[in-house]
Amino acid sequence: MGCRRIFFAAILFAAVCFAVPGATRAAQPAWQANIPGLASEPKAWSSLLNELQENGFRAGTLAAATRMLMFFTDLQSKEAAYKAILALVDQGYPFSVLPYFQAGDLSPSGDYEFVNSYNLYKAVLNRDKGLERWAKQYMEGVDTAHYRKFVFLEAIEAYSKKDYKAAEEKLKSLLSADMGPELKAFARKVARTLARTYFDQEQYAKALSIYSGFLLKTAPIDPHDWLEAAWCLYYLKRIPEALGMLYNLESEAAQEIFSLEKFTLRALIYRNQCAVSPADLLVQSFQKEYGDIIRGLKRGRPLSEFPKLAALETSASGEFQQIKITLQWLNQELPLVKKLSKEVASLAAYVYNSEILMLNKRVKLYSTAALEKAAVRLIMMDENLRFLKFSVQREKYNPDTIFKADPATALPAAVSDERNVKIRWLQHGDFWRDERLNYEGAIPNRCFD
Amino acid sequence: MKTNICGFRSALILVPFLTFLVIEAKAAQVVDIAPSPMDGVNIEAVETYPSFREHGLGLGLGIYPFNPYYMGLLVNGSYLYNFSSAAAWEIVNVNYAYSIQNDLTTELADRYSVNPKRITRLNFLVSTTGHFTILNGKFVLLKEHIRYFRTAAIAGLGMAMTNEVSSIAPQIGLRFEVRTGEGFSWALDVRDTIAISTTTNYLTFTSGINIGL
Repeated sequence: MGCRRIFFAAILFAAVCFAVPGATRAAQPAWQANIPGLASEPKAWSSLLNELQENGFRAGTLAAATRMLMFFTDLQSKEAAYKAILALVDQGYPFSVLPYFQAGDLSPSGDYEFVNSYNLYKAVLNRDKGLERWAKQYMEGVDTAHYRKFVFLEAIEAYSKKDYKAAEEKLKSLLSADMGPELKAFARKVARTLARTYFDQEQYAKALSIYSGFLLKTAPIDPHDWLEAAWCLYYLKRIPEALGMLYNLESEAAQEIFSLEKFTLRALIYRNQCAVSPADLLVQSFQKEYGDIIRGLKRGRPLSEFPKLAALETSASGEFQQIKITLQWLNQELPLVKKLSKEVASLAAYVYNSEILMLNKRVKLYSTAALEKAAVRLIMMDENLRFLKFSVQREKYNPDTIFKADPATALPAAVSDERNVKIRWLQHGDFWRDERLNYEGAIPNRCFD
Repeated sequence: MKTNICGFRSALILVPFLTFLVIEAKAAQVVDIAPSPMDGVNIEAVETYPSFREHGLGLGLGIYPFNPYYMGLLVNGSYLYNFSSAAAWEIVNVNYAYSIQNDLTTELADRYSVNPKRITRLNFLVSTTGHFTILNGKFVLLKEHIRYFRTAAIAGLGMAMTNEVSSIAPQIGLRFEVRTGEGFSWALDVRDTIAISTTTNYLTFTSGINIGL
């Protein structure tokens, strides 16, 4: 009996010895870790940040800057990181960087640009979170009378409240100021906002002059500008030119964005012109591009089986698109990391590889909602286009259409005079740089046939 | 490369003597390329073809390589009047030829003990010709620079002056001209001048700049 008790006591003791440390280990937070040795020196990060910026590695710069904010608490590192993030925005980084300012606890001084930018971002961030007192405090550190980003912010707020006159005034004052080449991205944003202000006020000619006179003539071109210019041309009833502008979206340069809006506009044009055959071909080309996906969706196949769905732009996919595009840039830049100096090469490799790993996990958080929204949009577009042909044919019997004056759709004469010969280059699918704004698609108005 | 022959759209034809240019000819060497419509609608790029200036002054260098006894190096000057985009009159074209003897005379003397006593050398070629544009278009050079060009047929009358005799000489040829900037172009001429009295033909190649006035 005594032996049995000793035996069971020993087993119990052994069990306790193993269980307690196990429980203790389980109680430790799983997300704690130490900074790897090669990444523990702030000076190395500063050198890395400088080299990444010099080489134009924007995804790597952002990754390094945000990692510095996470790892280090010294003032110098934080300032360098925030300056790098703000420089990226000034160079045209297309996504929001506000979340990175959440943990910012600097009180910058000296550098006018940095002080105003930092305080403005903090003010906006706090205002968005409902922390009005903090927002007001940070806004006191912004030169609200002169600082151009604050004026731009006011313009955007006026635009969103549909106070177009105020928005127009502020945007024009920004564009009339001297801006050097380093502010090209900012100038483009201001010009685009002004064009949209004019568009919303139905001043399509003015909006078009900004797109065709500036935005579509400066590199790099944003493919969305072609679409917006096409809308202006459509409302101005310049149908051949509208079709020509939409043709730009068929080029490789516009393949990064998958927007269904181009199908909408083409459908509207063909309905406007009662063009049955092009409408039919539009439906066929849509089916050719997305038919497999739509059939798969209707049969209940998993959304993740369709990579094209992930590339579709929808309103719900902002964060998802940001992560996907950042991953794309990181993968493009990673092979070029060998251009960097030997001192920072291994740190750069660590940043890129770890960032890619993290983003690949993070993208899964947003993918379901984004894919669902994209799937809904695709199916809705498919349903709308199905009835396009009938809608186009019906338009021929619409009294509002047939009793209107026939708008001119014929292309102008080929030759103006013997010296200035107009030439029409038929397009074969190659896109020449000097022709991008000169495309026209002649489509007769069949509503009066 | 895009070309327009006499008002009709056509595929391009790459002229052999242009092959030394590094050309990005995306639709080259293929005749009758199918257009790429969008929803069945043919898309065209409408542009005003840049015109050459009314008056043109040409300066260039050339060679007359097909004489057995010497190679002629040419210095060329010309004055051209453009009537329209399709027709021009080269009022005067003057080539001065500087001859460089080649090894044939020496070889004849050494091997065959023959010494030609009289070698007719070209001194001047002067002509007045009409230029008729047969091709105009544009190409991409080195994947970056878009350049407009035109090709013209040349026909006219001139005079070939040698060290012995001067002769009336009809002239035919081809010109390939590339617009390099506002008022400037670079031209390559291949001309055959046939001296009637001596029935000698002088095939010359000249290259130079044209300054539009």
